[in-house]
Amino acid sequence: MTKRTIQGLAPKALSLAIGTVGLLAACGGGEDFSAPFVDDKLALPAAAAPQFTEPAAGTSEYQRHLDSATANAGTEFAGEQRRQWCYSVENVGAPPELQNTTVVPMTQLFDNLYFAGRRWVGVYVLKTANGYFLLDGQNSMADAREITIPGLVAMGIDPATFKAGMPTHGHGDHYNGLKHMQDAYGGPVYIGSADAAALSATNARNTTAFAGSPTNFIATTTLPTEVLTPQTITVDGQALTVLSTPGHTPGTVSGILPAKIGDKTYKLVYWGGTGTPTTLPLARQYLDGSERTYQLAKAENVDGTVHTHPFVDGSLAKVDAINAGTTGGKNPFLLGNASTLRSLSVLRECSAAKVNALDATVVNPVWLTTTVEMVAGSTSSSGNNHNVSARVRVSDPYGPVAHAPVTLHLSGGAGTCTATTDTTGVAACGLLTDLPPAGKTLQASFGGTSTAAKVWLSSAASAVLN
Amino acid sequence: MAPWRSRCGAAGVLVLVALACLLGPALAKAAAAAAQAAQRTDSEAVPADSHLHAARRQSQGQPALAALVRRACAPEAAPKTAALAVQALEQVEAAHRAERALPRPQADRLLEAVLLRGCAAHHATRLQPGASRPVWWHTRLSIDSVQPAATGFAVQASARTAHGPVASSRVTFARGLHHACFVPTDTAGLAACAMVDTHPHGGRPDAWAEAHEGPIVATFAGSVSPTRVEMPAVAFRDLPVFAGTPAWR
Repeated sequence: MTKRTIQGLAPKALSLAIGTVGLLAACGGGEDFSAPFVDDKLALPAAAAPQFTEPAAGTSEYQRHLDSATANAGTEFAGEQRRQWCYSVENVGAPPELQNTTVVPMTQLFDNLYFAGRRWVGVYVLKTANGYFLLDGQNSMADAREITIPGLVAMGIDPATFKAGMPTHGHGDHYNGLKHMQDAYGGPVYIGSADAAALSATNARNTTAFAGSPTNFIATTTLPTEVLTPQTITVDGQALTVLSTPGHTPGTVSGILPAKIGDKTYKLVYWGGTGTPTTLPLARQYLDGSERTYQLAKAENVDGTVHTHPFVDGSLAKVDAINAGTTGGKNPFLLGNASTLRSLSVLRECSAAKVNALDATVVNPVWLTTTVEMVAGSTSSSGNNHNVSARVRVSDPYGPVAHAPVTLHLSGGAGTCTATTDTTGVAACGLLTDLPPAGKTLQASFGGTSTAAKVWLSSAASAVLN
Repeated sequence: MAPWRSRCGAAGVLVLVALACLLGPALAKAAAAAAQAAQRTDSEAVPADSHLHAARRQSQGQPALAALVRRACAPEAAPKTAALAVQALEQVEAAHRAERALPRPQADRLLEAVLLRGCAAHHATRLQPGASRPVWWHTRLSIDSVQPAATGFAVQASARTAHGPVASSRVTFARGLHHACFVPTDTAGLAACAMVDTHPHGGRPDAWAEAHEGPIVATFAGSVSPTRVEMPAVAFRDLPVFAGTPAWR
């Protein structure tokens, strides 16, 4: 006969960025358990009221995606990010932030990553083993000369150790300054192949933009735009992931920057060209790029975002906080993967809305972020046999997610179980293990699911068992 | 015009089958959409004859198109089974999408595809009692006016179906990658706005040359309801490439 004693709820429920967790532990005696069970003492707190109301039947596809962008943004990104990712979908003209030319001095964001430029556009400096790489190049040769170079010197980086640069796309505000860098220090400039012509002598505007230089072009190394899977460029021994995301321009690239704090390397994803296209073919590509960027950020477990128009994704506010010393000792760029994906899900929904702004007949499923809540516990028999169980709730911004497959995984190969949520979004299962569960991590994962109208994005929650 | 018509005459639906076979993923999506549409059996159900009447109306005054509709909508042109009819419908819808996916879709080809789709929907709905599909209306979009303006161009377009003007649907005007504006059509089907630089480079003077390339493209989003779809449309106006800032700026 098994005797269970409830040790009590964990004094403080662990709260992850992607879910909430409660813990329950019990011990008992008697025979080993013959089958896993769900502890009937496990009870999730009452479900919170949904933050958003699902669009009514008959709502246009355009509005459905805009609503989903708002819902995905939630309270975390309800302000600037929701506004900026969707700005050109909902507004004629440019966001006023694009006119703010106030200089942002070179600012160290991580041990190896810096930002400098103007409030509307700037460059990221990635320190490498023997020099540095530039993501974008400044809006003008003068800004490269007067902002980038002094900033590098101020940070103790020799400007002459320029190893390579890459404009995110072939618009002058992203590549002009790289002309000065290449003239002064040499080095390759990477560009998506479909935008290479913009940096060449065939682009008449370069004669003006590159005035003062002996040539009117940037020598480029092209990255094949047609390759839509992640590519790698190696700069001074540093591998950099780049993703072709045509749309804003035909050759726009996005990617990941490695950012270091001490021995730990974090990953920051950048979206290469914000400003939704105004023709349908490019808008479709932009949408596809946003989806692949999301998938890349998920696969690479990316920790945060950066943007060379730094106001778009909140990078500018983070730079300001660093310069003001108001970060509270926490690096503001490290959002965590769940928040990073949440931000990118807003971008994806804005991109989908733009497609519908150009073609109301297109039906793309909305992408909805989800959260996982979990309450978990363990019960031990007198033998070497333990039951670990959990009750899990999966929700999207509109309410519970039914029929969602959930997997519980106990670390150390100690066991797994699976269950499917009911109409209230709740699933439960238990697993048996011979290994003591105390100190092990129990993770509840919802891998995502979909219908023709909706894609529920994956999410997870985890807890260390008592 | 002629080559398309020869493909889409009495055997139009069958020929479109082959054309649509090249469109694998699009076809799958079309199948899902068609299945969704066919499931609508509510009070807004669209009877089979609505498709026939719409096809006839949209071909009025155009003898060749009227003949096309007579052939394609004739009872003897109907597929033998509902499954075949749905397949034919999906294929002609895919063909319409394929034309729309071209860099410069041809309005007359789109109209022919809409007419064939109307006949296919007529047959499919007759063979599927209770099924309901929205009627497609071909939209003719034209750029009526392009005038120099302080920010680029002031533009006007009009959108009409055989029913008349299409109101309250967005028209987006674009030139190059930077200059654009959008506005919904009014009750007369007119959309007018002044294009602006949607991505100015901090006011840099040479931004002008970067912003103005290629034709003005007007894109009409269309409108969708359970009973009717005013189809999206696109129109082009070629303009010279300006080497420098135009004189009116």
